[in-house]
Amino acid sequence: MLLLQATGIDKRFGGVTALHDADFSCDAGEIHALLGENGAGKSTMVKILCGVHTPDAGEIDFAGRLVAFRSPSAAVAMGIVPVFQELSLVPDLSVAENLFMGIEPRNAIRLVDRRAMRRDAEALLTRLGFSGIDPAAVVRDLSLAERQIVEIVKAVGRSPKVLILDEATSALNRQQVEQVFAVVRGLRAAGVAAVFISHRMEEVRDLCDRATIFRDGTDVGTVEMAQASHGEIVRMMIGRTLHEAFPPRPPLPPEAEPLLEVRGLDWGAELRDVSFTLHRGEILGLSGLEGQGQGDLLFALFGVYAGVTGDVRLRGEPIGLSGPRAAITAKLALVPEDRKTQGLILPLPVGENMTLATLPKIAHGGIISPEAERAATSTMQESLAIKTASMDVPVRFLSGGNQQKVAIAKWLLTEADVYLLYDPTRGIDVGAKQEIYALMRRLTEQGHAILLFSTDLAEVVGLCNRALVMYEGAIAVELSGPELTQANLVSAAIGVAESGRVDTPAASA
Amino acid sequence: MAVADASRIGPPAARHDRIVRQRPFVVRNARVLLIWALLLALMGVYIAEAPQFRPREQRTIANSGMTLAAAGLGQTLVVLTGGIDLSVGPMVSLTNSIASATTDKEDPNGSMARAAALALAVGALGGLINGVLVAYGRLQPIIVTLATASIWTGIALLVRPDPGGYIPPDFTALLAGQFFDDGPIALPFGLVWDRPVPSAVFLLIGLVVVWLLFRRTPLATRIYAVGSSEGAAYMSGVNVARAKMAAYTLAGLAAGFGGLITSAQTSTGNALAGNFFTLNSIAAVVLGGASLAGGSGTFLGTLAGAYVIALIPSVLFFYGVSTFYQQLFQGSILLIAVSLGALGVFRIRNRIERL
Repeated sequence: MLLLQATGIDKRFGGVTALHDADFSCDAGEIHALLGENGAGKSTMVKILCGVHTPDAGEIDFAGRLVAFRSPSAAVAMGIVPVFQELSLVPDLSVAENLFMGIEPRNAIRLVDRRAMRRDAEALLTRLGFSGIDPAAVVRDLSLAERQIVEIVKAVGRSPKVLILDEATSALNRQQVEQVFAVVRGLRAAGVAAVFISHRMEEVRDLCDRATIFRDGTDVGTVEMAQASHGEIVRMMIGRTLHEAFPPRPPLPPEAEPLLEVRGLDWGAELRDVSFTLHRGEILGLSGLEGQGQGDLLFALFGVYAGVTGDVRLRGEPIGLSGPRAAITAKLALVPEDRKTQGLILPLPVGENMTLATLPKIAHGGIISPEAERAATSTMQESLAIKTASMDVPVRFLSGGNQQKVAIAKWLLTEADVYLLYDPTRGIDVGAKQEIYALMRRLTEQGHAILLFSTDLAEVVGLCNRALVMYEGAIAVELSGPELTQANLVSAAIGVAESGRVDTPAASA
Repeated sequence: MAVADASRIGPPAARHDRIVRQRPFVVRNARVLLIWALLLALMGVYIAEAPQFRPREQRTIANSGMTLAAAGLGQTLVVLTGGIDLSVGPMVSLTNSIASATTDKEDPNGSMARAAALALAVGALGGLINGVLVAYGRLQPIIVTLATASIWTGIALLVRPDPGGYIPPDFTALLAGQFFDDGPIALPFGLVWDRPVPSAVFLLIGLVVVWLLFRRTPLATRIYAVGSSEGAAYMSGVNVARAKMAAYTLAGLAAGFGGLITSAQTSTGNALAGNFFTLNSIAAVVLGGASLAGGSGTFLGTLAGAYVIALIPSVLFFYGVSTFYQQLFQGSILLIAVSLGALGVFRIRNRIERL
């Protein structure tokens, strides 16, 4: 029985089309997966279904009625309850207070009945098989996995008709996942529809009845999980042709000098025993599904994280990972993902943004020399073709592509040896992309090296000499030469997820 | 395809199913217990060093932190939302000025009751204005309340250009005097109470009871939720703006109550009487263990913080320390308390989040 149906959904964010004429529907009493590459539109679709985003066009039918949710709470009130990876728990409140936020049991004089709340919380946690969590514990003290469990319990406690799980099991171990699946299957038996997004293909196979595949902002088909083969799903996920031109890639000489050597890098559960070597003149790609540790690896190398262990050598010398200042001194550069918060200081002029990392070089006796500053910035403006009226314009008035060029220019001025690039072309126009590709090629020709994390598979294939596919904090597969294709990157990213799970007797018991 | 060692891949080895328990009481309430220990120590010194400790001294000590406790209650609510209220002190002055100007010697008690109701209403209205500007006007709390602080002071000066006015002695006796003055009182089980008790003690018990009841309202949960994580609160269906507005309104009401206490204690009106309470209420909140980032704190800590601030001058006086050192001591205690609270930052693994 059809329960929830979205038809002809369009959604744009600024200049980027996230969804175009996308459809999705699910039945009562089924578990329905959403599959697709990073940025295919899965998350945007579920955020529209549960009232986080408002669609620009299209309509949503729920239980036979046309609905338009003004807020997430309106959707929850009607029975569409989401669980996202970004948590909706309040860290300073107890588990019980979080579970019953907005639906607190009251006593005769309308005060919160804490005893009843605690009792109900305990009963709910026990019923769902998570009696190990004390309702009085403060959420801040819980591990990430435990918070995800509380989040799921909170959603189930709101008696959903549609339960949306968007990467909601990403931090759980096998046993916890099984417990959550048992809960979801129980809901299915009671006629609830569950929408499931996970990067672990095996979990999708294990749990879901049907799957709808998204690509480039629209749905490209719905399959019965029991009948669809792995290859069929991969084809549906990537089946597009690409016309983006990449500059020619000169072959790497076999005896290329190692520049950055990383051995046994560990950071909690986020980075596990990462080892690789980056050579002079090389572009090494980082790929895999979203959030598998690629970004964490760049930040860890730049010294942003405390408590990273492992051996990192630059030009053969060990470097300490004690912070960005030390990394800059060692001639590392990181162009972060988020231009607005980490890459640039938006209200400051273009020129000052460029020279922020190299102020001592352009200052004489503690005073910034205008000539030195002008010389540095105008060279950069020319070589990167940055379109700006002047160096004194606040950088926030520039287009996304030009902003990104300014962010890169800042690091070029440091004359770094190794550039760590975090999705450098996300959200910028095609022309600016081409210029950044050409710049990356020039850098490698000059003997620098680039570690490129990109969510755009075409970029990884078109630019990189080799690519490392990461999965849950570890390097799963290395692809190079003719093996470096989009199909292999996708297969590796989800194929690893299928075959890589280690079943221990204890976990399946 | 060069496949890495397959045994490394997959989720981290299954942990044993950890039993998550609430942390022990002492750990959960370390900051609050610390400030109470400091307060008890200061009170011990006071009692030991004071030349006498008669009902008069008891009354003085109980009254000394009373207005600051009331202002601190309001400041606690605002700080819990992640905001700050710089108009607390001027609101104390304004309500004090209004009370002293609207009483009538011909009808002392009736007019005082009306003046008190007016003062509380003005307090709540002022708080509501702050709250609407912050929550719906999306203005920064520090700027909004800096501006309204100036406005409240301006109105107070219009109402009471020069210190003076009339506060009925009965009102002073009620809020700043003492009870059980008239000899022994028989209690159940044959017990007898034979010493006076400052009325401030009853007021403080009242404030604590009000706080404990408030803490059990859904509004309290929402205020904590908004301060702890606005996004999570919004996603949980909390009306974020309304929770903030309520916090500022209640803060104004508490400041109005503080103005009445000041009126009773000083028996007069003064348009600048409250200035002391703005920054000291923030200090009391912080000493009491609240985070200025919002989401954690309790009035039970603020209460102790208020009396620590009130007692420092007396204790220093007994030790013959020049009054010039008072500020220096108060600032040092504040810094030490805040530093203890900041130690947790070293557990954070992402250096960006430590900044």
